Amino acid sequence: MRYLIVLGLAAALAGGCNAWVALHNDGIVRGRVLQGDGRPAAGVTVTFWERTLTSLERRATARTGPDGRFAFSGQPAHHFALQAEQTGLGASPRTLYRRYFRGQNLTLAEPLRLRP
Amino acid sequence: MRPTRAAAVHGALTVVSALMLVPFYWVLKTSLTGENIFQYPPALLPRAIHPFYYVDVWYYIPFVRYVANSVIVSAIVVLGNLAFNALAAYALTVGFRGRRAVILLLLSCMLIPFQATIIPAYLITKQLGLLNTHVGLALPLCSTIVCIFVFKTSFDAVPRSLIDAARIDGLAEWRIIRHVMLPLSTSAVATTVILSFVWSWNSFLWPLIVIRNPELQTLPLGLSTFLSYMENTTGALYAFCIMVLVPGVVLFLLEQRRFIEGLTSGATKG
Repeated sequence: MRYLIVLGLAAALAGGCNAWVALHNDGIVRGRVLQGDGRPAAGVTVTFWERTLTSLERRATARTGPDGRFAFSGQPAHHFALQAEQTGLGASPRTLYRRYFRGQNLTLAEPLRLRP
Repeated sequence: MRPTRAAAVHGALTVVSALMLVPFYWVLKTSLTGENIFQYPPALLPRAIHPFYYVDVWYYIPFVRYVANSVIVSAIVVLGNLAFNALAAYALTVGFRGRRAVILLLLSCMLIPFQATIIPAYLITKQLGLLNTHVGLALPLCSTIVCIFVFKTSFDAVPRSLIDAARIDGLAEWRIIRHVMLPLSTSAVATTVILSFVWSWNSFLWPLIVIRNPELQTLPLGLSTFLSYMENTTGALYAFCIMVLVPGVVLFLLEQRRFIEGLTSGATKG
C-alpha cells in the first residue's frame, strides 16, 4: 500500500509539473532597457546568449521599442545571458539569468542599464 | 530500563545520529546554495536557497537516460539476486555430501575483492557477447554471497515439517521455494532487494570497463562524465549526488523494518 502511495504521489507530482511546464514553455523572455539617466533606450540591440556546459553561445538578437521594451520568443535555454548594446549609448553588462525549466516564460525583474 | 537512563540513552543516540547525518546535510545544503565547501567559518544554515543546480543537472546531461539505464540494470540485478540466491540458499539448507565444503568455499570467496576477479569477469562477459549490454552490466552482481547467506539464515528458520508436508503434497522443489520458503522469508527478500539494488545503483568500476556506448552509461558513469565537463562543479555536483541518492534512500525507507529484520534474524542464533 505504501508503495502505491509513494509511487502515486511521485507520478502525480511529475504529471502536475509536466502539465505546468507544457503550458508555460513558449520560451518568451521580456524585459526593458534603460539609458544611464533612467530614460527608456529605444532601438537598442539586445543579444541572447545561451550558457552551455563550456561556453556562452550567441542565439538571437532583438531590438527595443520606443518604450525600451524587448522580447525574445522560442528561446529554450534555461541558463542564458542578455546584453544590450547601442553605438553612442554604450552597453549593459552581460548578465546571466536562470529559468526553472527550458522555455519558461520570463519577464526580467530588473531592466538592463546601458553604461557609456 | 529506568526512564532517566532510557532518556539518556536516547539522547546520546540522537546526538550520534545527528552527527552521522551531518555530511548528508552538508551535501544537501551545498546543492541548494552552491557555496564554497572550504569556506571558513562554515555557514551552518543555508543562505539564498535555489534549485538551479538541479535544473543544470537535469538539462546539461542526459539525466533521464542515465536513470533509465540504472533502473534497468538494477531491476535485472534484483531479480537475478532473488532467483539465484534463493535457489542457492535452499540448496544449502538441504543436507548433501560436501555441503560444509561448499559453505566454506563461498565464505572464503567473500574474502576476494571484486577488483581481483574483474579481468576474468570481463573475459567471460566478452565470450558471452554481453559487452555493451544491460545484461552484461548486471551479470557480475546477479548473485552475491552475502545475500545467499541472508536467505539461508531465513530458510533455516522455516520448520522442516512444513517442507516435508509440501513434499508429501507433491510440490516440486522449486515450487516449495516459490510458495513456501519465499513467503515465509519476506525480511530476507527485502534485505536482498535493498542490498542488491544499492550495490547495483552505486556500481562504478564494472560499468566503466564494460560500457563503451554512451547511450548505456549509468548514473555513476554519468557523474564522472559530468565532473569532467563542468567548470564550477560544487553546487551541480552535489545536486547530482542528491538526485542519485534519492531512489536508494526512498527504497530503504519503504523497506526499513524488514531490512533490519532480515539482517538481524540470524544474529542471536546458536
